[in-house]
Amino acid sequence: MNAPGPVLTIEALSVVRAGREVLHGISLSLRAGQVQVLIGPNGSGKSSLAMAACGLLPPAAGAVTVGGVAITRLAPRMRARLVAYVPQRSELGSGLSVEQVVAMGRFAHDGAWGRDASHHQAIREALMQVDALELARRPFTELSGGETQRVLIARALATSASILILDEPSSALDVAHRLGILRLLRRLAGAGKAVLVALHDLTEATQLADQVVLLHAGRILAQGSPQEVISPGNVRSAYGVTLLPGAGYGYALDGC
Amino acid sequence: MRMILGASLLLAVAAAASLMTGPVGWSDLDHQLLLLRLVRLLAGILAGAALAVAGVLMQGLFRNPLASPSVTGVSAGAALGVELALMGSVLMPGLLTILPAACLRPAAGCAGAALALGCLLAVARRRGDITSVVLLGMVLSMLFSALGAYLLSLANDRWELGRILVTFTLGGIDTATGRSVAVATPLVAVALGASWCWGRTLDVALSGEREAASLGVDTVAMMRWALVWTAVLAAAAVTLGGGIGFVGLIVPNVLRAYLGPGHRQLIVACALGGAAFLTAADVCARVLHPGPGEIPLGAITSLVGAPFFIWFFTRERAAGRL
Amino acid sequence: MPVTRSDWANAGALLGACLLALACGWTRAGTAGPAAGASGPAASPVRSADGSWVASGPYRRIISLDPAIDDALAEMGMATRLLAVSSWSYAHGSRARLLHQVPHQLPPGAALEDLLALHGDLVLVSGASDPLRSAQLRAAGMTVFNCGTERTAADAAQALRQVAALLGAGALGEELASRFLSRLDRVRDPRLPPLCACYVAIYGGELLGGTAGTTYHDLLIAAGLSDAAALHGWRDWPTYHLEDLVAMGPQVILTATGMGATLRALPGAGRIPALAAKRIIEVDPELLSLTGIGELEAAEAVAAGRRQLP
Repeated sequence: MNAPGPVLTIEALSVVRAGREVLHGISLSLRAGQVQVLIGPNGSGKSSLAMAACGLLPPAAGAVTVGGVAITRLAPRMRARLVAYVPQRSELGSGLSVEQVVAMGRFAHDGAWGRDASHHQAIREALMQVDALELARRPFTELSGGETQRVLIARALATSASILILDEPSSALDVAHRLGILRLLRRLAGAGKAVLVALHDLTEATQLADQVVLLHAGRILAQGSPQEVISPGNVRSAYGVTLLPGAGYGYALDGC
Repeated sequence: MRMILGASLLLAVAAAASLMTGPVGWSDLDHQLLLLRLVRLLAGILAGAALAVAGVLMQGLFRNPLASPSVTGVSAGAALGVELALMGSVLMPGLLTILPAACLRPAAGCAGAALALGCLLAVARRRGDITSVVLLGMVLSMLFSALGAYLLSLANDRWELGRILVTFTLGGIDTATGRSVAVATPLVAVALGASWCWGRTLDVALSGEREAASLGVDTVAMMRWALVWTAVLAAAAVTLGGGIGFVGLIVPNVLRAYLGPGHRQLIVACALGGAAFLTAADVCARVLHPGPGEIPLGAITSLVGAPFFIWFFTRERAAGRL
Repeated sequence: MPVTRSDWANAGALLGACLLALACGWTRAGTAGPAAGASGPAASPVRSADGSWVASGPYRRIISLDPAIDDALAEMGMATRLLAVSSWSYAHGSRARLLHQVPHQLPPGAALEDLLALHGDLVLVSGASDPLRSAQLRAAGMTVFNCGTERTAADAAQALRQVAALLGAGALGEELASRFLSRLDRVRDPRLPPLCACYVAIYGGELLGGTAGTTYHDLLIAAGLSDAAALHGWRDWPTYHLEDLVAMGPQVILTATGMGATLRALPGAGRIPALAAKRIIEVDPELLSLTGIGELEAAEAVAAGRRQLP
């Protein structure tokens, strides 16, 4: 089977934040139906790369292109229709219902005066995809951690973007909720989305990813299949720890 | 919808009371005096609506329920601009050949408000940081008020000019003319309409700058135009009513508790609610004063607004929202 | 920074609003005049200090909000045509006795409705009055004449001429103005040597002055004194430090009654020639605050004080 062409390409990307170069010479490409996982120790640049891939951080060098067009040249609404971003935590305060939060995802499609014809349908479908339809009327701030992440993913899905970029969606969640999120991402990739996700857990990365990118100090240390990248040598270089095969807790992801 | 109807009803009642209140009895009122009262009523409606919606914009822009034109120094900046125009038009009548007084004041007020907002945005970079915005706003208010006091000292022996400046600072819509209302009407109407159009964008901006940008919001344009429309609203309100505080704090927070944070319906409700609030306060200013004369309108709104601010701040702190 | 469709829409809305506001606010100076049907000579317009033109005529229900012009109207025998004056003129003006026949007195900042309810045919305001209040009165159909700011005797004479012309008594006004100025000129005693003087008042520990561009300057000159503050470059109503007075070195101090002792008790007062030599002219503060033709009484009081100096 021929793999589809890349939908998002990052070439020799460098990013500077607060006067410090946080990414240097990053090159990767993302395809539809693929899950690409970013791993690396704290401060390696995973979050910065995720934001840069969405066009939220301007490149100091290199480029991020979506469908052959530099992402920085796209108008914000057009960019939002192509690339959806799920943050690690939301800054949303109280007063909003889950449905209102997910409806934000349709902003890029709404006109100045009226809503897009598929507005309500898209919200409903997004909530259904994350199994959160029953949460629609609940206040957003009263949700559990796992429910919050699912709703944020639903908001990203409501944009109808074909590219999903997530920044540590499963951190601070218990194992059941983490499994649920990862299962969902696998399902979305199966439905044709291109998924780029930053993760901490190496076991999850091994079991979820089609491709893994190991970052260290803002540069790519290794890139390839999970088996190639998550090797004792790479792990020692990046994390300074020794990877013992079979040690620790292992768990399977059903259906992956 | 019910809240909007309720606000409309309150406004109608306050408007009727305003038309019936004055030193001349209702039965002795001729069409000229009635027109005068109508002008005053319209000034109160425009100023109240403008201040309340300016508060909504600022609270959306800074994601901070305590942000309002008076707390953040925007009203003080607009007031300084209008005071400069007031003094200029009295001391240098030649200025009025360039621009009539009715246009000079809102223009100067707009410049002052924009200056204050610009300082606030430039320094309070982390706009979710509530404390820094409020503290900085207080400092800006004090700075502009100090400059206004200096202007007052320059009017030293010109006792009438000094009195004009003091009266302006205390707030009141009794000096509104048909022309000043006519000038303010298109400014307020267009600014209200534009603010309503930005409502959905402000809803998405509740998520924070980064998330909002990822959802398609042009955050730079949003900030720019929210600033401009806030300055226009604050300038129009200050030009009509002088130093009136707390309307932009009280009305949006009270209505948001019932309506939720959706900006479009909040803006409509606040326009009506702000108009009703200020009109009612103006009636109280005339009715509660012992003997002839009236209590400064700014004093009435501050007497209500300051305790509200303390109560609201304490409640939000206790709930962990601040 | 790319300009988006939203920018164009907002900019267009802002421009439209500003243009509409400008169109609503633009005024053309018109000529206001006496009520239709009023008898009298053909109205000729007189230019008001705020640039508007007001037709002269037989105004008979005059509301005066300018205390400085009330004395002039009384002096011209026109107190009977006054409908209302300020409460200050009523109580303290130099012609207060003549103004007691005026039916109404107005407190400072009188409500607009109260003014309109008097149904006057002319409102006189001072140059320092609120232009918006004048605009409100005009919008309500009142004829409003701005007498200007009467800071000096020359200003007072000019205001007198203009108001007299407005009321159809131009010749009388000219005569009174000339008489006022010539009387002021004759107040000084030519036998006394010219001395350098300074007006200083002390309120709450602050030394407040009045010099070139104010009535205090006129009073000093009328009494045959030169104004030390004006010679040193001061203008209007300055606030002094003691050192400023030492630098000016006035030989005479003009002040309000009761303030002489306070000034002499200031630390370093001995450095000021006037205070060291106790050459202090104390005048009733009500007299000192008189403007308009009331300045004449004040000047005579200062001259009398000058004659009694050691």
